[in-house]
Amino acid sequence: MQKNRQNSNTKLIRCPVCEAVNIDKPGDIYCHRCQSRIYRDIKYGTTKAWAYLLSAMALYLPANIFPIMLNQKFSFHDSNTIIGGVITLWHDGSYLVSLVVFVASVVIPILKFIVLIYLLINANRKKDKYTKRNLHKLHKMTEIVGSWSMVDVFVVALLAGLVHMNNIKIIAGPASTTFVLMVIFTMMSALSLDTRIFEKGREDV
Amino acid sequence: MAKDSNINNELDKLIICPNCNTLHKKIDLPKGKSAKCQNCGVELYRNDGKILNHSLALGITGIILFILSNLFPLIKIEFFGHQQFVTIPIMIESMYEGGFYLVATIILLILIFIPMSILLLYIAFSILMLLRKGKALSKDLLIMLSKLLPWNMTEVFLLSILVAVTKLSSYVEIKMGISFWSLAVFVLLDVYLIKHIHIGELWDLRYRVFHAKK
Repeated sequence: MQKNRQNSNTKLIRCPVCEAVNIDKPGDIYCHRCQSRIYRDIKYGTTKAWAYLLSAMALYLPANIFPIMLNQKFSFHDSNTIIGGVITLWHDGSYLVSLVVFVASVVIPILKFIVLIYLLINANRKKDKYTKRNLHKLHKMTEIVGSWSMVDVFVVALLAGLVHMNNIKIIAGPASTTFVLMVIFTMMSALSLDTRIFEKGREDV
Repeated sequence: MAKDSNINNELDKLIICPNCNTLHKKIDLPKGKSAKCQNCGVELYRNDGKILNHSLALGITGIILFILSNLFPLIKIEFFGHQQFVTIPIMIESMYEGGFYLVATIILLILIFIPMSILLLYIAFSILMLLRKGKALSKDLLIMLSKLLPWNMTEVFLLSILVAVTKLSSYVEIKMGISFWSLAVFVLLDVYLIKHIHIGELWDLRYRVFHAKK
């Protein structure tokens, strides 16, 4: 065991469930502490991550085209897309809130798409120590930042629950479903990405 | 077999930074101090002598606040003499009535089921550790806990309330309800529980409870 620590060729990995350190070996690995299967197959995780990511990207388009919120004031109907909501807030003078919504529902999803594609493509390339570290950091960042996109959905649900009088109503629009699915899929994509891919070069994948 | 457990003991003295994947050797810390990653400065683990009491106390407080936040109005508005309010269940119900079954179900899971389960898991785990019982059960509880943690979004919801209020503020008069304040405190507790009590520390605690005396 003394050898293991000094031998830099022995790869150590972190169990994604309980964070225990385990020895990396080919095939199935079961964590010595929580006994959960750490990763089945390295390619399996990557394929899953791609699948979730592509579904999320496909859903992002309708989420932006269709209205996320419908206002009904007497006979006057008005619909808001995500971008429309941001612009309305800006015109109302709530610059900070408008910016928050813009970052949460436009910048974060697009950034996540770009980062996840970058991570998945770079996985197979040769890379030095620092690049590896940055890939790990980027991955951690996408995991943390992901849930903030839910802001728009929560806002629509809150307003729909709050404003429902006979003449004046706020109703959720079709984009809310696609948007919610988009957020869930990007989060699942980041979670299913196997971080071991960052450690390997082209030859041993 | 004996060799295996030796290796595992040796492995348990190591820790890999969750942020940048650098390998570190754990050292014994004085009480109340924390160890940070040499490379990126992220907190790795702490020596919190009262971790059990903290997680139990915060868990129970959290449950009380969480129930409060679900029962009472979050936001109240006044509109041409009409008073209306929204609670978390009403919000989900209105999405359901509007035909958005999927959105309603996801919000139900994220805002009620997951935070509630996380708190109950913390409480159940702390009680098991205090009683020094349930070796297998406590393991399952921790595994479930770490699977649920990424889906906790109460702090995002708090921000959403503020955004919703600003959206309405130019049209109607708004009052914040009791639930808003209890939710705000709940989020503080939640952030402390999740961000400051590392899942690895709970595993170490479990290990100390069941293996230390042998």
